[in-house]
Amino acid sequence: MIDYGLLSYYAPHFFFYFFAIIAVASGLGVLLLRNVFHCALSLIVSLTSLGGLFLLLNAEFMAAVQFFVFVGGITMLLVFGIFMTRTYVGVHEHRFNRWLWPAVAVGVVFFLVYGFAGWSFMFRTERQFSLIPNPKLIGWSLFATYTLPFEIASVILLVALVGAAIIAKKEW
Amino acid sequence: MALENFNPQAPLIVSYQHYYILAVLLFVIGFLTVITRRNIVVVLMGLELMLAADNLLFLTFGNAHGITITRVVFSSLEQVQSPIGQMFMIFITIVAAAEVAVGLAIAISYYRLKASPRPESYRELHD
Repeated sequence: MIDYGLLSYYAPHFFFYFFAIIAVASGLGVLLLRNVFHCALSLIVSLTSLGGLFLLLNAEFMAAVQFFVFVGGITMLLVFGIFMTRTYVGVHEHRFNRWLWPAVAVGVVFFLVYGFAGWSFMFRTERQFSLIPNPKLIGWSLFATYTLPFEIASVILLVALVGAAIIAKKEW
Repeated sequence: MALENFNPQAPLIVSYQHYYILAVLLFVIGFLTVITRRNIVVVLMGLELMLAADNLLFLTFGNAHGITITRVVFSSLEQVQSPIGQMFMIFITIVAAAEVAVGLAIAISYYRLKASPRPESYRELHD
């Protein structure tokens, strides 16, 4: 019998802490870096490692959506926004406004309250396994159960994109 | 640990509290980015970080407390786990894409008006 050892048995823990540490470190990069373009690159790394965590949570289709929409689309829009607003890339001045320390206090209180609430919450302990593929389940749910919210959401996205193009137009 | 001790029915998993704490931590980081940074594009990045943390929270609770539903497949029934958390994540992703498009359009037109990326210079409604 092959002994796979503790390494494969603890593989979910290894990948969880790997992705979690990268996500938190690059999220802190978004908060703390001076260069705005470096902030955008750090956001890309953070969202990618969150997609890895979605793979650990039995949501393969959601991980693909995360890679395509968040990492590919939204971050690219933000980089275009950096270019369009001609932000002072590389200029070192004050990053934070005067609400830094009150906001840090509010954030610490928020983290302690919600962290304690979630830590004492009784989660189910066993992992649920789905016997059918995840994209099949998602497609069936979108086009059988949640059809009306899906159509409304697509109309909202169309209206928002057309409205964004009109708002950003140069002459009215 | 030998392979015969490995029980695939009850594998060792990361407990859901860890996912919860990670989501709250990322949400707080995004909140601090939105409140304290002095660049409008970085504020939008913080919004994206908060939405991504919410997605992680929805997937965690969908896995931890999702119900099992019975689905009709042609002429038979099968038991599947309800994908309600993933449905929430799809709609949050759509709203996030719409939000960042409209937010960037407003930021660009305000930059044309003020020639400054600082949110504290956009004070027409306050003064």
